[in-house]
Amino acid sequence: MRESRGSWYLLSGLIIGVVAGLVISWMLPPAAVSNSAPNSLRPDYKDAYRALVALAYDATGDQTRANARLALLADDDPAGVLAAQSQRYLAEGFSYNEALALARLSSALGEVPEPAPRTPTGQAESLATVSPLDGTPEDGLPSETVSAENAATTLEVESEATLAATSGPSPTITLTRTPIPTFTPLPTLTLTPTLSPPYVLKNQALVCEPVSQDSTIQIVVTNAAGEGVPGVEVIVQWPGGEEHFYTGLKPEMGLGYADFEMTPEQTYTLHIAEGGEPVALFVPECADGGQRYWGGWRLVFTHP
Amino acid sequence: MSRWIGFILVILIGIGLGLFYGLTVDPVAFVDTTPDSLREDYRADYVLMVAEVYQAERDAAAAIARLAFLGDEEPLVLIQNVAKFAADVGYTAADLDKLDALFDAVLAWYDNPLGDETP
Repeated sequence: MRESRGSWYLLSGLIIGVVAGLVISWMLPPAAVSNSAPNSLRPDYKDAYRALVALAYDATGDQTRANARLALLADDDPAGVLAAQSQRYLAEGFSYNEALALARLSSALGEVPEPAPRTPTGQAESLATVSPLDGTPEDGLPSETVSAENAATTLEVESEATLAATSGPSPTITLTRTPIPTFTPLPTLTLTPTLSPPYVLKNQALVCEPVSQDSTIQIVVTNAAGEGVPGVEVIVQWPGGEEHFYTGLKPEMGLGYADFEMTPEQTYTLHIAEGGEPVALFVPECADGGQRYWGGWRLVFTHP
Repeated sequence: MSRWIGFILVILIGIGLGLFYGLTVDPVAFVDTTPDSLREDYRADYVLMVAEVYQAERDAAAAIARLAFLGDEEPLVLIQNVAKFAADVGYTAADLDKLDALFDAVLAWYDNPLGDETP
């Protein structure tokens, strides 16, 4: 009887120990947080990180890399978050280029990514940027070429460090003894897509939708090739008011799309900020089988 | 006496099990962290993004401002450390070139922040 009772104190001690261990690991704050991931960043830092991802995408056009970087933020709806941030940046007066880059990346997420262009040495495919500390790229894409000569002489990267890459986990890494040519700039994207000549109104159509009955001005801005142009500022004015907004902030509707909700019995003047003739608008009345309701307009602007 | 020793022993074993579970199996997920706590590979990727943007913009001052996101570390030292890490883990030559160009630009900016013509 005494021996049976004796085993219980061991179990009690174990439980006490486990609880103490859990309390220490879960409740006591660490001296300093380290080795955190981007998805744990404070929301405003996440915004800055996301904006840089968009700018880097704008600079390189590498959507595979942009997707991998966005995945680190673990957003539920990356395209939606990008579009919302773009809109917020415009409203709050942040950098226009950042807002535009966010809108572009949001639009690009809805498209099928093109494979990254392969250089003769296959450098473009590597995604070492998200590689973990052990050097194995998390997405499984191999790093194909490492140049020993390119060990950045001005950065004083030791040759040992570069040579270490040859014994890294990726079996496809090879050493290239040929000096890498000096910096070759990538083609840069034009951040201000259209400056001149001014846009002209190509088409104005009445929109009567008895189901929605939205009195909306739908604006579509295209380039000479008929492709939607994001980031074009549109100005709507009415007696006692004015609103500025941009195309491309609803990427699901198209890159060059923007809209504005009208109030019945109000008159509006709309024009593209970069230039072009103003268009006078009012809320039209639609009739459908005896049913009367407010309609909207669809305006298509394009380069001549 | 042997009972007490056994009791303390199982408590220590329990603490070990609790720590193992709490720190490795189901660790605490930190939220609202700051960028200076990012893991080294994420920091490296961030600096590479700055280098990619610099390649298009050619704005060293903006690049330095973006690097400040990662904390108080001196930008040149930061880029140098990242370049070492990048070489170690097998970044491509193209990416190393971008880091190299960023380093040169930041160094040049510190030498001549106003962009004056050198005599």
